[in-house]
Amino acid sequence: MTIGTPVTWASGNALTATKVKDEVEDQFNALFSPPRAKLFSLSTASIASQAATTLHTTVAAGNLIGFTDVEAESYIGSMTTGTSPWTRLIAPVAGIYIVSAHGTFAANATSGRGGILRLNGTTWIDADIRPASPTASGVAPGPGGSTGTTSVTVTVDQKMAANDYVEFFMNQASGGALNTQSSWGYLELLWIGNSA
Amino acid sequence: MTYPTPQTLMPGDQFLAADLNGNGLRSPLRAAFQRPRAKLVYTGTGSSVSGSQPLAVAFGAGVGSSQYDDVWDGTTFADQTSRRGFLLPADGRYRIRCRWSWQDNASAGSGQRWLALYQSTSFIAGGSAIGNNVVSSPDPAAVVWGIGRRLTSTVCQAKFDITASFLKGTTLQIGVCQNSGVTVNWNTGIAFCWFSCHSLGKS
Repeated sequence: MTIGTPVTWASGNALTATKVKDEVEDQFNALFSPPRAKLFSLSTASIASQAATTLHTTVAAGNLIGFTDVEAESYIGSMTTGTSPWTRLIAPVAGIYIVSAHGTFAANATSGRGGILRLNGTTWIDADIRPASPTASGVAPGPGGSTGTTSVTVTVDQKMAANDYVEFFMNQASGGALNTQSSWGYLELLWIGNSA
Repeated sequence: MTYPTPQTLMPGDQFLAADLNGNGLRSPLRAAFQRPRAKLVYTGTGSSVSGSQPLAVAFGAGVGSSQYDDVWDGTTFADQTSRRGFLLPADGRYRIRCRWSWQDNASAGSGQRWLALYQSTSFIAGGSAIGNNVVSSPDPAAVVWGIGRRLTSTVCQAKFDITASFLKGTTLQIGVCQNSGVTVNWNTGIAFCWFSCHSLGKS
């Protein structure tokens, strides 16, 4: 049984209990509760500064974001590996996925910030590169942040093979090390169907 | 293309293999799992001349690619002529996302960057591979703007993410523009210039 790929029935096929489970129950389960997982409770990290001209080209190993909580709904294979803090989500089955992530930097108004989704350790699949938010009072903070914090958000549709994985990176060019805001932030992977 | 209507069984009906393959089970399941969806990625070299009108973008051969283009019945979803956008195969609700990025530096001038989504009954004429033609006569009511904020010395980005209902035959296409006073190159690549659409079901 492969979720998302219903079998072709032939005359004389017996509708056994196993067949009904595989081809009816499990398929509808996949429709109503598609494989998804979310990492949340972002671990505070100190992100080193880099040149602004490299925000859209470079992330270092220290820019990889970890999370201490996981919420997973996948009955066809684990979507995480290892122990807390988790840094990656794994596709349990091939198909099209929505990949989303969010993170917030501590208040600082200098230069730019970035949030990057990376596939299989090499390929950038979405990147939010933006100016730092002003620290002046009266400026609305980013989600989960206080005045002057800067949030980065990425969401993209991505074709993935089984066992492909995604990671979330944050980078910045403030001129000095800058903390990520603890707790606020997530990385999510949601299967929305199979691909031909 | 129409979405299958699940079969209603009446007392006394025999449930045959043909029913299981047809609207009794397999067809609606396939349609639900493989609803229309496609994603276009710009990977070539492109630029926006300075101006107040959006430039139509085409993801043509050599400058773009279709990461996927799936409909369960084999219908193509992305425009196959020059990958100008999406031709919606059925009435329904769709989620449409796009990110566009421009290179930027002190010499690229100031100003703003914009990203627009156009709905029409046909692809807007003039969408070239490089995208340096001005979009003509867009329907203002159909324009959704994603407005980018410029960040000197790196990239400037605009993005939209919307859900809306459309009729079968509607075309969706994007246009981009900037008003720096000079031509600004796009920062292309699969993470920086992409346009995707997927069906959320029939209406």
